[in-house]
Amino acid sequence: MTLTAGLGFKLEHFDDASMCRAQGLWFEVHAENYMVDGGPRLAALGALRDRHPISLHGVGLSIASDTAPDAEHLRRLAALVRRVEPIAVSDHLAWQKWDGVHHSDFLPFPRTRQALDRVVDNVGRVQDGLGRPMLVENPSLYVDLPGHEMSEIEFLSELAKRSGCGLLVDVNNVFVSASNIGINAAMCIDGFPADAVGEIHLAGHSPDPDIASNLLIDSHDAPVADEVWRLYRRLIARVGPRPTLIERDDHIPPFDTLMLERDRAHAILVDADRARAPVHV
Amino acid sequence: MSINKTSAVLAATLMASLAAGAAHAQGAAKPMEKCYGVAKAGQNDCKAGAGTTCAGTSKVNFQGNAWKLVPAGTCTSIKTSKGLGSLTPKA
Amino acid sequence: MSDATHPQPVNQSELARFQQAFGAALAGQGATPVAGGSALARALAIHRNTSAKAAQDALAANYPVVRALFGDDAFSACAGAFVSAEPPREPRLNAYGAGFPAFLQDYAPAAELSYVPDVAALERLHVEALFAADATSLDGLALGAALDPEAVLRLHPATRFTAFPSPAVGIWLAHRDGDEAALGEVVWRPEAVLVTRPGLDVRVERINAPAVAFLSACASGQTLGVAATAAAEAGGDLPTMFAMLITAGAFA
Repeated sequence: MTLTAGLGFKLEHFDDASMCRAQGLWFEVHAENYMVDGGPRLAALGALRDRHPISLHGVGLSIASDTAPDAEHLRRLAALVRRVEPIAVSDHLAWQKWDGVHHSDFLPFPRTRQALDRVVDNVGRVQDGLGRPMLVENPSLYVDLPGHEMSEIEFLSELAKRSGCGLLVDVNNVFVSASNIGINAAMCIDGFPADAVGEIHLAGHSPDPDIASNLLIDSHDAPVADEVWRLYRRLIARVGPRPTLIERDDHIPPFDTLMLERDRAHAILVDADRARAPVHV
Repeated sequence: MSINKTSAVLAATLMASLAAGAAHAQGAAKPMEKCYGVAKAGQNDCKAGAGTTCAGTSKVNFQGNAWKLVPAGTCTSIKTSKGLGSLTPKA
Repeated sequence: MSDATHPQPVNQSELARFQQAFGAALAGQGATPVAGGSALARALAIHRNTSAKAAQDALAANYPVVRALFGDDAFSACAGAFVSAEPPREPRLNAYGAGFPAFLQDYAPAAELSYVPDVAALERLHVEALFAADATSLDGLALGAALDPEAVLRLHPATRFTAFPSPAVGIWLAHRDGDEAALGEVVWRPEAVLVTRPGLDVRVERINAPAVAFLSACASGQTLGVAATAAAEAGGDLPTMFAMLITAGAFA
């Protein structure tokens, strides 16, 4: 195993990030923030890419919209992929765009057969446009919509099978969704098809007692919770080591503090790798 | 002296002036500064165009933020042609 | 949402109908998309808030001086109004808010602050310069001693300039430098700005009328001779002006 645990890259961490020589380290960026013509931000990504593997994580493909992915957006993503040569390209099982307005969040939809056909088609179009498979991430859910014809796991498994995409398992999103809609998080974690899991995300969440006593928000503003670490160990024990990202988008601590969390994931992955290595007698 | 000759002389003078200026220009390219933008206080290139996050939020209501009568920003210290101006919340 | 005002296409799929209704509910129009009671209302509130915060944060990042001028609370109120009026149309939030300077022109609470739309326009030029295409800046020595009056100078892709009816440049510079005293000393007069990106850093400076005349001529594809004549007629000190423009990296 070459790649272990990575960090969501923040520009303010550029110096520390590019100098860091931790074993198996990689970085992830939001693709949309680098879809620009030139300038310092793209130069920073280029410099980082020369030192570390990069993963491009999209937040704007809107693959669950009942329309084809925006051609211009896909063209920009493909150009960035050619430039960065990322280790992975991912986005979310959600929709953002409808009727010309882009909602900067991951919106839910009823998981019907018809929706599955549409998402399979959209993921196919993205993969054709990029010339490589993508990973699709489970978002945080805040409501159990009526009208679902299948569970999220069933939907993602079918999507992976039919489109050839991989899955990005966000363990925090599994925990938040399970808590918000009242299902068992461990059972969800056990349901992801092992072969399809290409990447894992870990992040912090926060409760919002003002809205409801049991409501959790995928806020990315805190360290990874103990329950999420437990689910992560459970997932790794079953599917084996997979590149794992620590995400933090708010209340961003110094680089070294984030590296401590990252090192914890790294240690779990290294242990899992050793456990799988053939025993030499 | 013909008009053309006058303008040719003028053009030569103007070009000589520009060339003199160009010779005094500093090298334009500078090494990259920290954070690939200007990191000086307030100049804010690190933050400019900050972009997206994956985070959800519910804590502060960002919908239809209401006016609050609190000490305003720096606008109160700038004199316009009509005197000191300020923000005037309208219902 | 009544069918009379929003006729539904006959062949619209279930998913499309759901997204139409959910989108309308997020925008605060129409009923909730599906039966779902308080859990759905709660989810809508979270999604609406997350989406609005993302757009408002992006606007605050792109207009830090307008934010400072208004103060945080008044800026939030203004940003909320703008995001409702002109929500993001695409996922690249780093470029969000192109319409904000024009929006501020008609923003009633700031009617007394006529310079605010100008400061916002300057901030927009700054963002455009930050993300513009890369190019090597024209070097003064490379131009040589003999300039051809028929040559055409090309502006660097990041170069932006404009003239304001207000002292927007001085106001912007005072905020950049954190110089509150300078704000009190701002003299009411028209000012022009040059925004460039030599190397990777964005530069903002006040320029005079001859420099604006020179840059305008270059931008419209006029020859060096025509541009120099325009600058000279505007009363410019050509050597000083050209040295400044080359040093700023205005040309490619």
